[in-house]
Amino acid sequence: MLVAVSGPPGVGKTHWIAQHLRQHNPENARYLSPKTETLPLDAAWLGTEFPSLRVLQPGQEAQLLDSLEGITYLELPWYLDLAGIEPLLQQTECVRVASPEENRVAILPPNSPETPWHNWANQTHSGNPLPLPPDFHASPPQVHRSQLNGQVFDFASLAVFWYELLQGAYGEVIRAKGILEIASGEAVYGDFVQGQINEEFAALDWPQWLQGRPQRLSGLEICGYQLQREAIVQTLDDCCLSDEQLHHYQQQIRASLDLEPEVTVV
Amino acid sequence: MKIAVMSCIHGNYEALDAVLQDIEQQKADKIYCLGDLVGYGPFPNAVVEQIRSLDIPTVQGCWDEDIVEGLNACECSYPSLIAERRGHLAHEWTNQNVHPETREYLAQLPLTLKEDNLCFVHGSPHSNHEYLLPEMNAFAALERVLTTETDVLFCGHTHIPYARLLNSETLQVKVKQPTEEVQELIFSAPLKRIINVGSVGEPRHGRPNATYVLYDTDSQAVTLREVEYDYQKTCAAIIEKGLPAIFAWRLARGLEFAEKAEDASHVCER
Repeated sequence: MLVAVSGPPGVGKTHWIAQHLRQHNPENARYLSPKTETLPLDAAWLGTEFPSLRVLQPGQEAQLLDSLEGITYLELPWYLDLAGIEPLLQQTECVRVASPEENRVAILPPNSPETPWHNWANQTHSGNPLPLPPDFHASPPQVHRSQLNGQVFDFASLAVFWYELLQGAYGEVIRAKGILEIASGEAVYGDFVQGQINEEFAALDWPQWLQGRPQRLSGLEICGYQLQREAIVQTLDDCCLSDEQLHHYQQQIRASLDLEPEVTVV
Repeated sequence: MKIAVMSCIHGNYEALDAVLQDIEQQKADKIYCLGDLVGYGPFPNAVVEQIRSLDIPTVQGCWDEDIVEGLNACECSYPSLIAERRGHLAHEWTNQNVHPETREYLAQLPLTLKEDNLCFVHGSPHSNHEYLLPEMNAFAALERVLTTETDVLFCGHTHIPYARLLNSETLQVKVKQPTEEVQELIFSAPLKRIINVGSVGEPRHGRPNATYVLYDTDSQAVTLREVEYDYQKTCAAIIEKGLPAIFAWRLARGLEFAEKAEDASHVCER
């Protein structure tokens, strides 16, 4: 079965998929989010929450036709042209869907006015109560992405930036999410939706990275209006550790964890 | 006698002007200033000129000291990397923009002023970098006041005003030396007070309003004054003069810009 999920930014598409996975616990589940190759944050988060989920990378759409087993979640970002994705949907539906009328899911704010998602979906679910402006499609919000692979944040600085960002210091933010490395060697997940109380970071269940710059996904995606991109980039840079500082922290943490190689005496 | 005590103006002339007007309306007999006339804000020279022209007794703050002697704040004075970087930007801008006579005035400011049973410092009697936070251990707080040999210690630096009463207490200390018996020493400390007057130009209490304190030396009544002013003028000047725009955003929300020591007992060693 293939389930395509779409809706506005921050409405809870990934959350809906996570809930669906928890409820149905499918044996063979796959996930793909097209056009997110620059920063596949949702894929990384879902892959962490559900280690048995097979996460396909953008560009691997052809693999959707490979297997008829299990369930495949296709998360369609809000900025994706629904007409543009239609050929892929029809192709996969023809191959595998017994009841195609039930596999296009739109997650929308409660009492949402008529949107293109209403016409596209064959089932709708209520998501986060976003203040979706009536001209959302005519004047879509801006998206800012910062690729931050290898960057490590001073957590206190990151908290200052995050507070300022969410409070509007760099423009009106309706959605912000990110996976960010911090000095303790942990990666944290930030997940903000305007109008919701979710301003804290959560530690991801990833191994602590305590040797050099982390070689794994890290980045920030901000969606909003009048975003001050230059100031965002500069402030993020001001929050990051230099090589020297990172080395210093990592040495201290390794020493405190006593990460000397274990010797096994046989 | 009614005295007005203010601190931490940080180059915010609009705020200073509003506070001076309020002091005049409150009919204070004398004004004291606890330093940090400059730093972060866009009008360091105008603020110093005003304080000088009114001949207000003033102590040197940590920012005043840093402008005279060069950047001196050790990195543990900053709670975060970003606060440190912003602090350095503000220092650099101020350093480039202060007039020689402003620097000369700041250089000759004393670290402590005393008047009868009142003592005036910027941070603490030990250092103008030390934060006397309201939750500081009572014994340590009492020690700070006792070293001044006065009864009321006025300070600023934390940008959050408070008045703390240190009740008259008995202190019991046991001293054991290798060759002697344990000695029990008992001290009685008289009633002391710490009064933090907040900040005129860079408040951290969640509103942009300036704060200062009125103190009646006869009744010992403390009145915290919160004064509204046209902070948007200062915000506009911050941007116009090339200081970081985030300073204006934070000032408008009463968030301060950077510094706050995590450890109240920390004293800068440099």
